[in-house]
Amino acid sequence: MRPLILQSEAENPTPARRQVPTARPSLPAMEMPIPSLRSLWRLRLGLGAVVLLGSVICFLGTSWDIQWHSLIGRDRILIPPHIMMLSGVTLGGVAALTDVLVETIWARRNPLVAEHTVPFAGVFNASLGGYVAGFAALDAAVAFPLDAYWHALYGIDVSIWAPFHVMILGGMAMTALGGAYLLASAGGLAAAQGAVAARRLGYLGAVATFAATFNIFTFLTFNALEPRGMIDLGIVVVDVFPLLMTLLSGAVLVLAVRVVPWRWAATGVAAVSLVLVGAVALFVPPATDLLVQIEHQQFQRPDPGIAFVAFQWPLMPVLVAVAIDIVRRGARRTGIALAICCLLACIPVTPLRPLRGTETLFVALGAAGVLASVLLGLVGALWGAWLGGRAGLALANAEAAA
Amino acid sequence: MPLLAQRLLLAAGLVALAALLGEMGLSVAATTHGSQPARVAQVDAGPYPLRVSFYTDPAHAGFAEPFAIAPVGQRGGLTFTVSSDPGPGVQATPVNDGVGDDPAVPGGVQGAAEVPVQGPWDLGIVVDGPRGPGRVEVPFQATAPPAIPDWLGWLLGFVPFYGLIGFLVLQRPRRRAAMSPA
Repeated sequence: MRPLILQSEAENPTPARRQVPTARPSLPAMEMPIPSLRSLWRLRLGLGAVVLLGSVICFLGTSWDIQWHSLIGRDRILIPPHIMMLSGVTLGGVAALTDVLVETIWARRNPLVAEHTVPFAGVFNASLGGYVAGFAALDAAVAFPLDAYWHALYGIDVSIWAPFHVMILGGMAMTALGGAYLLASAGGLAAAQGAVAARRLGYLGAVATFAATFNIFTFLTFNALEPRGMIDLGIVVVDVFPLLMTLLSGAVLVLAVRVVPWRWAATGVAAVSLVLVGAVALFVPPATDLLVQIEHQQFQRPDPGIAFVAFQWPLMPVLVAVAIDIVRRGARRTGIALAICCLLACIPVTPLRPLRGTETLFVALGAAGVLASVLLGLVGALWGAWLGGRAGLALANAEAAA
Repeated sequence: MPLLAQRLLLAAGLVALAALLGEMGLSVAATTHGSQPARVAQVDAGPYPLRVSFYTDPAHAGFAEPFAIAPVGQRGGLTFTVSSDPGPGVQATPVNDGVGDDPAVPGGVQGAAEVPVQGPWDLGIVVDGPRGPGRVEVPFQATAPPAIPDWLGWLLGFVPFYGLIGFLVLQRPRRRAAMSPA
């Protein structure tokens, strides 16, 4: 997609890359029939918004599910939190499928639209985000019955670290990622057409969807400060929390700054992430109380009246995001610097008892273990920054080659 | 991404979609009552004799177990509350099961018991009527399909991450080609 190429070129100017579009039969920008492209970005904007909505529903539903399982246990398969999660996945999947089908039909009738799509399997032409969201939503949907099968075999385990919980969460987060690609793609197309409001809307949607991606992936770090997250290496015990948090922060926040051409893109993602966590804090406790009454259930442990997810939420990624945005300003080669910013995410700071996680790590691991864990965090940060940068470039390249 | 890889990915997606739709069909079918019960238990819930019919025996863990409860010698006037209660050694939570009137049996009810985990379960029936409340536990067994090992579960669970990494790796050659002089 041209706007994304231009953005990448601004960061990594390579004359050879500029030749790519000219190798394909395309109309000069001034001669493009604007209405068809306008319809294309409108389609992507609308369907990307549906994926965003689905992702937010998934995030709220999962937070509610964690509360329900912690306080009541896992009873029926189709409890409302599960239905909410499945609804979010379905929304995302249907929106992605609609995008792929509509753009494919459209591209067969309109060469200009075809030029702005990515071919797949010799059958389809659509936005890369449509494919990513579609496959990821399918993955999450398939994981639900597999999870029921796993529970049927091994009993009810409320840990997030179970094979098909990981598959569900990974699928839901990557559905959101596909939505972010869709919205960024719409923003880029709108920018090329000079549609300022739509450009803003597209990138704002992308920022919000990156936040949903980040938040859903963050669930996978929740067990990391428990004994299961600690690995005894013989001479030292390490904890995987720093590795996971820096990997996640690096991947999503660096990807966001590669895709969204805004100065405070990463900070925006962190801010929206906190807004979503605030929504969880407001929604989950009353929803749980209401459901307990409706289902005639009883609390297995005292109801604290707060949302566990909101009050266990790691806060340091906010500082990581601000640091990333500051480091990016005026710097040409920022890969290592961005990774070092991500190291801040190693420190487990949460809203309810801010330093409890840090104390836990020091008590359980000792100074040597903490140091080794932070080194592991550095590995995660470098890996995450690489993944984020690569995912941003992959989007630009895939759509450029369309 | 090579065309062959794209087509394989598409085929895998279609197979996964077909499997998902098939599983959904099976789940819906599991809640329907057959014409003949697989097992019938005669029990007494306090002063109320009941005939409890199970339409799958043993039940399939992860799917619903359709059941019907018919009062013996009493036509109506009873209310039923039913739950699926895990037996000894079953790591699960009791589940409240909804019931509705059984059109074939006056005063009887039917429903589908949720059985999320394999092992021994009890269908807990609480009856209330003119002779006061009564309760009975009707045991039944739930079995699961053949187990897959833990490592295979984890291997499958990370599928989205293989997809993500594969997506990034497969994009790289395209990028190099794009960067080479035309």
